[in-house]
Amino acid sequence: MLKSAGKLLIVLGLASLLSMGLFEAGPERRTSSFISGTGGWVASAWVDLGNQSAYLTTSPWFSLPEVEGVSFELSCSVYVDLTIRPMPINLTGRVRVLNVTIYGMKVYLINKSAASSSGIVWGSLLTSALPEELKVLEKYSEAVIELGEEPSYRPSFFRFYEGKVPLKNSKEERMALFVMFSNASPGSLEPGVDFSVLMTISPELQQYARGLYIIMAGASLIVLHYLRHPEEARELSRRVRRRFPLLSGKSTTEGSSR
Amino acid sequence: MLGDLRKFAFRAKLHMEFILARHISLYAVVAFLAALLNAYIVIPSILDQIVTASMSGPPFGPVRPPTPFMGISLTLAHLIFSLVSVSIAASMAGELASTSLFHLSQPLRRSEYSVSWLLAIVWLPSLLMALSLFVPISAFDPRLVLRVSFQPIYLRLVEDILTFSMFCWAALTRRRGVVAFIGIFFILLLPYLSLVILGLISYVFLGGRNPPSLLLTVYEIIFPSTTSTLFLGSVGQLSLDPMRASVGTLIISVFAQLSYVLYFIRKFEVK
Repeated sequence: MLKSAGKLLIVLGLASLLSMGLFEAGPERRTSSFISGTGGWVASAWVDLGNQSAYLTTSPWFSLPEVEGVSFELSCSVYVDLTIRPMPINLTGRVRVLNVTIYGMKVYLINKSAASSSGIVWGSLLTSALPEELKVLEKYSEAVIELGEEPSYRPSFFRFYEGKVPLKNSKEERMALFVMFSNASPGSLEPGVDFSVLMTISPELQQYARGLYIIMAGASLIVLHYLRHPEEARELSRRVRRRFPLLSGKSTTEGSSR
Repeated sequence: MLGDLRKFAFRAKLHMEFILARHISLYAVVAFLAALLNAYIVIPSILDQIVTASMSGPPFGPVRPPTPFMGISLTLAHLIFSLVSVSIAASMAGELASTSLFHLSQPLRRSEYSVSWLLAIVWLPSLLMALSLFVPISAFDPRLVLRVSFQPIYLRLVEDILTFSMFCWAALTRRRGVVAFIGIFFILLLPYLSLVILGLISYVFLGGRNPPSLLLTVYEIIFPSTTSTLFLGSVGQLSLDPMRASVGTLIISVFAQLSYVLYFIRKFEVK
């Protein structure tokens, strides 16, 4: 029974090791948790700053598990549809496009304790003092990223921006604030902002060691079985010597010459 | 009394070792496949669930059903371990048709013989199914074991223990073909065919109203895991909570296994 249990443990340990190897060799981002949606879903607003305007939206508060060998990234993708809505009936089939210049897009990653110590509240961001408030926020943010435009996909009526920021492994709750500066008149367009948490699994040494430990436990059960049944151990030894004569110092031709 | 019990356990263990020696490679291959599958599907699913569950505020209020991928993984593991159980039961049927008299002429009682087969057909595959999920997860990060939702695993194990118990009874027919047919019928056909029959009853006899709650309750008791998977998100429609239904499943399983052992000891004719 010990021998069978040992074999099964070895098999389970091997499967654990192989699965870790698969995580390592597999695609870099195993899965993603979609955590926010189109502008206006969570909290979104337009702020009129005179010669330009700002569009703000956030992700919900989220926290990450502290798991060995797993790192997380926050990805933000923004789709800006520039077509004029409602779309007029146009016999020539041409799409009418808003003449808008986007000056920049930023994502501020803020954790809960920093958010409370900065003293900034949602309402204070929705005023003409927004640029100054953002400067303060930048100091308290865990990370700030500027989103870059994806140049390969650029029809005249559509813009696509993307950016990623690595997330520190901590259980503290955090949220992402998205800000877009443009010359669009407030409310004339509705950017789609998607926040995703991307996960990269690359097991560490101690995780492989745990897999090996399970294999060793299985092997020790088999050894224990042979210690309890010495006659089986002798039989095994004879079988091994017959199959691998070089191990016991015999010539391979010895058997055939006999 | 204690001496008798020790003797019983020793002999049953010896016969169990004999069965394992013949089938260990089958158990090992299946455990390896199931563990690999579970690790690759379930670990990212648990992590995903932890992040999703941490989100607060609308529109994220109600959290998604617990680890949907775990259901897929468990169903795949259930399918491969069912094949092992059927295969071992077929082996028992083959032995009963040929060499069982030789085995029972050894110092081995009928009770020990039947219990060791029961362990090999029902309990070992179920144990391996649970281990193939927990061992890779604990090797990855032991803290994750506590984040697994235990209900789907428990329901799957309880349902499989009942299904595998039926294979023990099927083995008593001494025909491998019958065991294979009953295996396929219980694993692939009965859970879904019963639903079709329930649907037909409700449309033909009840004019589209819900089938009688007694029939639904019986279905839930026999297939608690399938029910909770199929009716995921609409548990309110069920006549019984799957966890409560599983108590009935356990009682039927105990009855099926005890009656199998008693029948084998007292009535079964060994040829």
